Amino acid sequence: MDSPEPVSLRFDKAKFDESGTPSLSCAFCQRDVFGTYYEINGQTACEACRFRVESERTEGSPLVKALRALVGGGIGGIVGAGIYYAVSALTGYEIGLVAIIVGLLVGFGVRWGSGGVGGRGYQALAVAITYLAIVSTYVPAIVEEIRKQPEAAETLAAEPEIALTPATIALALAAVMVIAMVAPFLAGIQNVIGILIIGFALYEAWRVNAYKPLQIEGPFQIGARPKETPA
Amino acid sequence: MQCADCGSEIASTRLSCPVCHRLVHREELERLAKEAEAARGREEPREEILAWRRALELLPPDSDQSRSIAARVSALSPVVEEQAEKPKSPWRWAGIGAVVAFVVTKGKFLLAGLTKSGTFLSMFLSLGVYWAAFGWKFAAGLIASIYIHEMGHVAALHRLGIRASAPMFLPGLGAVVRMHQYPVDAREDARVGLAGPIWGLGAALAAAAVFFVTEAPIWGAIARVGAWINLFNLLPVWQLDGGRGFRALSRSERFWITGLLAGLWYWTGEGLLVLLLLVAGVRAFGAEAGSSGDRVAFGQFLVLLAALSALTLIDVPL
Repeated sequence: MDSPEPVSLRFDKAKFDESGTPSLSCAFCQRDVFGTYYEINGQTACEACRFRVESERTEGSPLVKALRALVGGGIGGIVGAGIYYAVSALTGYEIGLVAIIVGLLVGFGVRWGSGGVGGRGYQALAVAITYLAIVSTYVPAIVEEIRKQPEAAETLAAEPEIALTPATIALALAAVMVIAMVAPFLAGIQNVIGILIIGFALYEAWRVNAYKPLQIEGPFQIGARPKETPA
Repeated sequence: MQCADCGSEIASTRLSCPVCHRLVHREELERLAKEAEAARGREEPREEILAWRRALELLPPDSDQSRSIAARVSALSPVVEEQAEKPKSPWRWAGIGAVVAFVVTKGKFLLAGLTKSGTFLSMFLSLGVYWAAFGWKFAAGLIASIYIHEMGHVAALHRLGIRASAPMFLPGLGAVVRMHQYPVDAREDARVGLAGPIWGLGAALAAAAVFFVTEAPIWGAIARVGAWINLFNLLPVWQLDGGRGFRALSRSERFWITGLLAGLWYWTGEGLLVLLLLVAGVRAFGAEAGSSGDRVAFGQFLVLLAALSALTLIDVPL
């Protein structure tokens, strides 16, 4: 048998390239750690970063965080809706994996805006934006369908000079969005796949913004603990 | 936990002491190394690769030992693959016997996948969902196509000695196989990634053959949708099958595939190919293109794209 060269290794200590054994460094500030270290959600942290990370969770105005989450999620939603629409237009199908991408884009946008806090409120926000992002991709098709209706053509012919003010445009858009929001459920069981696809997106947005408590382990002593000397 | 050498405290998630680097699983690693050496002595590369893959899980990924073992696994992998594909008897693959043996071997493997309760139950749940939307005949065909695709991945993972879960169906999304260990290089990743579409192509071709013989539209629909799903999975992005396959390809191989996609789109007019073309074009310019390439993965990619695109031309009302 043409077998490759065997491995001859020692397993007493882990070896790290020729530069020698690396010192323990903090995953947050990248500085060397002395004395004691902590583990925050599986990452090594020095004492200063341990308290800094913890305080970042609680500091800052909730309103500012919520607004930032709205903006972050909104940007994610616009990008996601663009991708979802482009793929649907190119292929003619709604695809579960693409819906997941929308959910992730919105979810991470909200998470970024909230400073990584997570929780029920942010989860609900992410789910709402994701739903709006996906159903907004139905708007062109709905508008097209409305334009094809004979009643619409008749109305336009009868009233050719309907004033296009910002208010009428907003009203029309709102009406179309309402139709888009209920559209997935109009076909009932026939659209069970479509509803499931949207469900995957909502689940991802929800999951990304779940409240993740900081799991702080430590302090861990570096080197042997000094022996206590009798007084 | 306290380090036996330097007395430092070791967090539960660590594989080595942060100070003196004593390995936490030292005894188990030594046992696995002996097991691997013994397997090498017996000329059993499959047993050896299994032991080394287990050892990789217990080592810090950036350690020299991990790198050495990954290199050994990488070198052993083609040997194991070759051995798995080698016929046991020179006559076994002759003529009709070859077809019978292939169907029996793969058929047994396919049925074995159904013995897992998670696979079975999730498959029935998916079947119910697709049944409600498309009727039972198409639902059954779709489920079978997805299952065969996933079992292609399972077969490749099994052949390479990589531990993984049985397929789990997700209604509306497809199915997934969760890896418990990971490919050590781009070549392995490509073999695992492209195995699904290869088996999926087999399922689509079988459905197409029945369609051409019987002219029953349902078989044409199963063949066409099956081919489309496999084609979608060849998108060279993220953790999709195409993304795994593309990792191993050199820049010139990527450009050839991009060119082929342009031609296939011109021929078939299938919109999905535009998406594949765009993503493949971006990836062809990407800095991460493999320098040496992988002729096997390249060939598989070309054949898959051409055959699956051709199957999307089956003219049935969907």
